[in-house]
Parts: sequence; structure tokens; C-alpha cells
Amino acid sequence: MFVEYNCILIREGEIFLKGKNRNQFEKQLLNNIKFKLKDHKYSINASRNRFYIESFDPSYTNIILEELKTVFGIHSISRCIKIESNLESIFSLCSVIMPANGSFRVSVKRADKSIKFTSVELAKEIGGRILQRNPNITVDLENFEYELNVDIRENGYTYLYFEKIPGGGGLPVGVSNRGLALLSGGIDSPVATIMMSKRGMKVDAIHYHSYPFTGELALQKVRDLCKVISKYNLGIKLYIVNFTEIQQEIYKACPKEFLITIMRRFMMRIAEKISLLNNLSCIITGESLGQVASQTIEGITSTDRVLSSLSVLRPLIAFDKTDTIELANKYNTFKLSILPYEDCCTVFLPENPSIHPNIFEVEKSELNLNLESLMQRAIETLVIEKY
Amino acid sequence: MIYLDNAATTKCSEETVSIVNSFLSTRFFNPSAQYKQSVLIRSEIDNSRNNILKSLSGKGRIIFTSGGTESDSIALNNTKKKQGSKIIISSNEHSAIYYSALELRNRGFKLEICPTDNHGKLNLVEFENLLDESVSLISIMHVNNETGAVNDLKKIVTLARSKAPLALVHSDGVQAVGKIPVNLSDLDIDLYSLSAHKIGGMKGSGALFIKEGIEITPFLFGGGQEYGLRSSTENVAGIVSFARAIESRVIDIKSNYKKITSLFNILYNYLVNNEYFKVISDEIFGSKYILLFTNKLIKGEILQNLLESKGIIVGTGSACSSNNKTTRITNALKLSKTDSEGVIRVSFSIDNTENEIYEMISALDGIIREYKLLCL
Repeated sequence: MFVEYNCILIREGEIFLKGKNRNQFEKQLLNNIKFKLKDHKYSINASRNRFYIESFDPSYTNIILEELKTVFGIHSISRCIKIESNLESIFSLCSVIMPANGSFRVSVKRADKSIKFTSVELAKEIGGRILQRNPNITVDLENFEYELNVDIRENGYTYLYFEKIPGGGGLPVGVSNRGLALLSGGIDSPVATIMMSKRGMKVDAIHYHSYPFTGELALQKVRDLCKVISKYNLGIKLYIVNFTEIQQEIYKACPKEFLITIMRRFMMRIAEKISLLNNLSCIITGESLGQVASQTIEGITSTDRVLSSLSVLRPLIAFDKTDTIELANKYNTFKLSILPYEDCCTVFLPENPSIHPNIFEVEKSELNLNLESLMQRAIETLVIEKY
Repeated sequence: MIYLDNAATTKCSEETVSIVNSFLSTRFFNPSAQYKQSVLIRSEIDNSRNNILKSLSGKGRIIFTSGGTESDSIALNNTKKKQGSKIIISSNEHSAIYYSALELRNRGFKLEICPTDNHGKLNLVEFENLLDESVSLISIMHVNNETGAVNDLKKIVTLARSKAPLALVHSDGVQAVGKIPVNLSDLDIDLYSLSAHKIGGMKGSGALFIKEGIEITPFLFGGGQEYGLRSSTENVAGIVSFARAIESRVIDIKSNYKKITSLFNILYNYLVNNEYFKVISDEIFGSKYILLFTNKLIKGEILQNLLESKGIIVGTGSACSSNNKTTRITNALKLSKTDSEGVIRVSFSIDNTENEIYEMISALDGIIREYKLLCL
């Protein structure tokens, strides 16, 4: 007998911990799932920390599962067989869907108290029926190959499933306000961006390029990264700013050892300005303490000093590179990130950048620059793209 | 736009476009069918084959392929070789040869990679030392795609015949055909790869010359096209326009080379008289179609971007593959770290003009001036 999965069960993540905001969180998750599945026909129902997707074309089951794996706010997903809660049909279906060889256990949850047997009694009965039909399979409650879950709900239906596929975890994108990520194209910044999406933040990205010193390939790499991030962030807006004039002016007017620090201060100032104009509430960077010369505590302090109202979130601040790379692989950004094109940070790289920039000296050397007009001209080059 | 990356690909000639157009629109018939239109097209393909052989004085067969990479791959993979025998390639072969050779090594063949000199030309002394009776295949490119170095194929074949009598000798002639004189009979080469899009033909069209008596094992099975070696309905438009491109380039080879030489010399003289540049190509014995140089101020990729912003397209190395091969080629040419970082490849075509080269020079001058102001 061929039995087809006719339902996808989605379990909510941390949302169930939320108190009064819970409705808002669930609504956002539902909207995000709908956004992800906009190319599919299906129905979706919510009940008690769960969503049930039904009436979809079974040939698209795997595609739908893949889409759902990238939705933050989902704890886990299961393909189920949904049937009416009639004990005889539950017993016989369970024995049919169990593989013929190996070891198994049955776990029953009985929310429907109109059923007279206890969960344990039901599990025993189902196990017995399975053994009757498949003499080559054995029961093993500890080291089982298959766990058949039988979920008898109050709504008169029972859901049978084997596996629990991990979802994206975290919170639904959109519940934690919006932020602006500095996206260089390296390994760290895409990971930092996706980590903030995972905490429910809808992230926009800003990329500084040094045309004509940097080329189309470097920019295309950032666009391609945005396409990957967009899967998790449910779309992404990319702000592209030409940074060349600023870099050239710093190069001409300031001590070389402060080049990177002053450059990063400009990046922060422009990012804050664009954030405020676009109702974005924070700035996100992929910095990790001590990773490069500019990511020392003095470097970080001196870049943060230029911000008037926004905070900087640095989700990778205490991460080792290997841990970041692991996440970059998980989120499929690594292969793009390691493409070796010159970017705005490598074009004007001083030989000996200051590791512990003195804030007063940095600020003093910035006096040689016309900050406002440089920033204004950079912002005039802004191009916005959506992915 | 001034296009100076012609070793990567060239613009199709007007003649190619017109031939392709005719074979895609009115003369679209399948050459294997029975009706008159098809029979006429079949004979166009046969003529193309014969014309290429005639243009290159080859005695043997031409099989049409999808391009240089496929031809190289056939030469390495589909020739008869004794299991475990020795294969020799040079250290700066095109990736199509290099990676095919690595694959053969994985399958149990002994791979020897022969070094070149600083211009990218095969070191004949080292080469001779590698020859013995266990060598089954030698693949040495005719003109190097990075530097324009021209290998003495005749000498290579002669050495091979005397010291490695069992070896087949193949050469990747993609940067040679239609640009420098190629006489396949005189070279006595066994296998020779050709490509259309480096000489005004279309992409997706190439050929492999197979000398009389050399056996290739069939590798695409089906309708029996290309002597039963490579079945597949022929790329008629590509084939006919390719043959015509070779024919016309070979006829004009001397006058074209004279023109290219003058373009080369203009840029060469500028570079050697400028303290920031160093020419890597061999200005006397190399092909004048390619000029590889380096500079000590600006990374090659950045210089390429700056030139592009001024409407001048150059290469930083072989465009057939991504950056991971850069180290292989720069190591082969024994470039220092600074030299390897600043590499630019300029490659000419007969469509380029002297004025374009002067514009390139003035762009380089401007870039260097600005860069010096900024950074020095």
C-alpha cells in the first residue's frame, strides 16, 4: 500500500516563551511562511504553537521543506500523514508505514481525552500490530532506527510522522525591528547579517566600493551574497556607496597608520545617516575582537565614537574564525565570500596600521578633512538595489 | 571601448557573422539527412575540413569539437597509452591540459612537468632529460597564452622521435593558428588543437588535427559523425565560419603580423622606457600578439579596473579560469611576489589600431601620475 505524506507540521521556536507579544510573533511567523511559500498552492492552519500545511502538491514536498528550513522562528518540521482519529485505521496504517527491517519504537501523545486508552496502552497496541505484520523488525526503546510518533489531537485528527527536521531556530524576521549591516563581501559580515535576521531583525545592507579601483566582479560578489542572505532575511535592500573620494582624501591628508580607523569612522557615519533616513534602528558589523588591526577594543571604541544615536551590534565579537566559517558554510555564504577580488578595504591598505589608535590623535588628524562635504558627496553616489 | 584582451576571445569578424547568419537561418538543414539541401551542407563541412588541412599543410584528419579545451582533453584522454607510462607537459600549459594531465596522474600515469624559462618558453635541456622509452604522450603548447612565448615545436618533435619513440606529441595551437605560420606536416606533430574564437570565429567551435595513422578512441556515441569519434549533429555555422577564418588569416598572415608587430612595438617601447614597468614577454622570439608585463606600483587587478574605467579592456592573465591558477603560472615564470601581483596581459587583434595603443599609453601615464600623487 502506498501512503503519501499529506501534511507538514511546523513547530514554533522560542515564540512560545513570549508573553503578551505572542500573537504578534505568531502572526509574523505565519506571514513569513506565507512569503516563503508564495509560489505554492496549499492551506495553512495554526493551533497551539504549531502550524499545519496541507492540500499541497505532494511532488513539491521536498521543495517546501527546503524553503521552510530557512525560516527563522521555526523549531522543527515534520512530514506527516494526517488521518481521522479512528483507532482501527491508526493501528493498521502504523503497521503499513513502518519499514520491514530494523528497530523501532512508538511514541504516542494523546491530547484527545475522548480516546479511552492511555498513551502507553496505545503505544503497546500499535507496537504489537507492527510486529505482527513485520516479523523482521524489533522493538528497541533506547537504540531505535525509527521512531514512529503518533500525535492524537483534540481536533479529531491524528498525525503520524517519523522525523523531526530542525528549522532555522531563532525568532521570525520582522519582530525585532530593522538594522543596517555593513557588508564587505568577506566571510564575517554575511554571517553577522544572517545572525541578526535569526534574532528577528529585518536587515538592510550597505556596501562601500572603491570604483574605479575595485571592479564589477567585487560588486557582483556582494550582490550574489545578498541573494543568499535574502533567503533568510526574506528579501534584502542593498545600499551601494562609492567610497573612493573619501579614501583618497584620507590618504592625502591623514597619517597612514590611522587610515583604516578613519575609513571605518566614515563608514559608520554614513551608515548612521542612511539608517536614520530609512528608519533603521541599529548598525551591524561582522567584527571579531582582535581579528585584524582595526578590530581591537581601541579601534572599535574610536569607530563607535562617531555615532550620535544608534548602537552597533557585533554578533561575532567573541567568535573564533573557525566558528564563523562553520556558520558561513551552514548558511552557504562561504564559497562566495572567499572569491579573491580586491575590495575597498584592500585597495588602500597601509603597511603598518595602528593597532591601538589613540582617539585624540585620530580626531585631531580628521581635522584636516571636510567631513560634511565628503560625506555628502559619498551619499550622493548612493544606489539602492533590492534582492 | 578599446579591447585589448584578444587572447581571451576576439570579436567575431563580419564574415563570421554573415556565414553564421546564413547557416542559422536559410541553410539550417541537418547535414546527415538525405535531401539535396542537406547533401550540400554536408559538402560544406567536408570542404571546411579540407580547407583547414590545406591552410595548415596537414596530412591527416580534422575533427570538429566544441573548442580548444575539448580538443586538448581528447588529445590527453582519448589517445592510446600504456597504463602507468610517462606523460610530459610544460609548467605553464593552459588549464585544459594541466587538469587533464592531473586526472591522468590520478589514474596511474606518471606525470612529468617540464619547466620553462622566464618568458614561458620550454627549457629544452630539461625536456630532453625527461625523454625515454616509457613516455607515451607529450603535450607542449605552441604559443603560450600568457606570455606569447613560441615553443620550437619542430625541435621538440625531433627530440621526442629520437629519444621517446613511443610517444605521441600533441600541441595546443590555440594562440598560434592564424597568427604565426603553422605547417603541420613540417612540424610532424601527431595532434594539434585549434580554436575559432581567438581569430574572429565563434565561441563553441574548435578542432583537433590528428595525423595520419594516429588512433583516437571514440568518445561520443550516436550518429557516427566526425569519423565515428564524436557523434553529434555538427555545429555547421561554427565549422564553416571557423574554416573560413583560418583560411583568410593564413592568407594574410604576414601583413597581419606586420601590423600587430607595430602595435606591440609601440607599447613595448613605452613600457621598457618607464621605470615602473617590466616586460615579461620575449620581445624578440615571442608572438607579438601577446604582451605580458608587470608594474611595481599597482596590483594588476586594480590597474585593470582603472583601465576599464577609462574604457580600455585588458587581461590580468588567462581569462579561461579563475584566480586559483595565478600562482601556478607566476611560479612557472619564476616571478617575484611583487612582480606577480602587478601583472597585466595585453593581447592584440587585427582590429586594433595604433591610435588605440597610444590611448592606452596615455591612460597608463595618467593612472601612474595620479597614483604617485596619492600614494608616494
